Amino acid sequence: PSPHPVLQPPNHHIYLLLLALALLGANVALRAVTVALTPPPRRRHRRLPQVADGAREAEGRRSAASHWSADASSAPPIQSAANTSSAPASYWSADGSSASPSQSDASHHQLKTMIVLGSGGHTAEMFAILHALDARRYAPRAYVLAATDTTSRVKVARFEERVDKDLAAACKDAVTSDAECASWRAHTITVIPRSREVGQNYLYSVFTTLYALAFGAATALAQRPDVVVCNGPGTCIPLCAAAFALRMASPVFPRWAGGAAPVVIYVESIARVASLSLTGKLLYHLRIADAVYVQWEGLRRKYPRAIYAGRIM
Amino acid sequence: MPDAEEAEGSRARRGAVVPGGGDGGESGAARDSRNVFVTVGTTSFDALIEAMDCASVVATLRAKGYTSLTLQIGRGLYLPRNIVPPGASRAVLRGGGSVGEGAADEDNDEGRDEFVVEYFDFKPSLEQSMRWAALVVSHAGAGSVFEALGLRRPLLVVVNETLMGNHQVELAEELAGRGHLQWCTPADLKHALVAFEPKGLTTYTPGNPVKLAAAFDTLLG
Repeated sequence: PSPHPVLQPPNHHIYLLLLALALLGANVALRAVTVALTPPPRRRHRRLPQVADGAREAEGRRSAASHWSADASSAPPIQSAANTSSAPASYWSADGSSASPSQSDASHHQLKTMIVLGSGGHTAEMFAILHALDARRYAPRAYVLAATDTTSRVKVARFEERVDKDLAAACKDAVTSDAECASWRAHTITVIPRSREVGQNYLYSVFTTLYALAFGAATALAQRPDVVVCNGPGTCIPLCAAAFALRMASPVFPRWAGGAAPVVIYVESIARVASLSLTGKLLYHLRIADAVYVQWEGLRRKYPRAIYAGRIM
Repeated sequence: MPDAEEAEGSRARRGAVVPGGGDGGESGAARDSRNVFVTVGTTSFDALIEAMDCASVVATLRAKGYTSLTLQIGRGLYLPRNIVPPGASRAVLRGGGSVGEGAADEDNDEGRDEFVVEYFDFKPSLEQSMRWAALVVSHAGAGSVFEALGLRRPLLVVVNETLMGNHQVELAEELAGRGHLQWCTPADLKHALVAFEPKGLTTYTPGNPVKLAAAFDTLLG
């Protein structure tokens, strides 16, 4: 007897399509809200003191170098609501170039980096990328792992050991303060539940995904990263979506968002030559990621907004 | 481990030069032995192991001048039983291709005709195994492929057709198009081994994440 057509469990892609539609709906709704509530351009030069104070507190949580010097006439960073009008405009740019949302950051300013780790191959590529980054700038690092991933923990420990060693010389420098050195080495590990186990029942998957979404959102909100870097695992979708929502909501709810405006970076695996992975497609088409990097030039034909910056191995 | 030591010993005792000369591959391959290393990484790829587990495939490799075959079977459930005695993980084939167990020994003046077959499931790092290989036959996983290419090994990639949404074949096709490897399916394996010509391949220049890191820095201001 052939299986009942309606009661067959749908395949993975239908379930993810619904998730994509939900994210799209949320995306559209948040953009509409942002536009509706954005003050008109003429307010650009008016500084809102209470908002600036809130943003100042958020800045204070980051590294030593601070924009909020005693000089009150310095221009406010883009993350504060005083520049609300310009922030959404950059996200709406239709061209492929990612208008940098972080014009506030001086090149030496630290960026709290959230790094999403997945299974084996993804982790290997991620650490290849991390090795090339300046550990002093991309710090503190907040690693996020899936609950079932044991090997990534070991790799994190090994990577951070190497960072410690590499920075040992710079830390001994008389110019560097202990606090600064500690901030270079600071890292945390957060474990989040997986959205769905292989072969899991469809209805149950909806709940586990919502749970993972909530958990990912809570993590992103608690950590308030400046950058979220992800290279493939599905675990990054809730985190990227939450970071994106945080950035969208930030001009509208500045006090709550605390001036956070995370930049979401997605690097597609070197294994993807002709098409993006499902995670990549979601982040690309829904415009959740600020930048989608691909490692094969041919992908730029199919995804014009993607950026090719060479292969990592 | 005893097997590794036996393998070392047998290679050392085998003094004759292999017909077909040198090691054919780039620097790093072992002295006078030409090893074929088959790897499936951390996956299960029984179709490949089954295709290799064939006396005619071994005959093809011997005819091409290879002297040993190592299979890394990963999570696969199929254990070779045609080219090794059932239950053994290692065998030394002599002369007419008869299957004998254990290390090379007593009547071994004709080291030339010896062909060592062995298999294992995992090792912490396959780098050494790859370095010793004159030919790497790999599944199409990016990690294994780029590891072999980085070590400049002649590479034959076998694509696992049972995988869903097989994007691995795209990677194999792209790299083959650039002349860095050749690829085939398990069904075509024997034919591909016969036709494989390492001299026709070009070396792959490994990439560098530095450019990507610079792109990040530019993006973030």
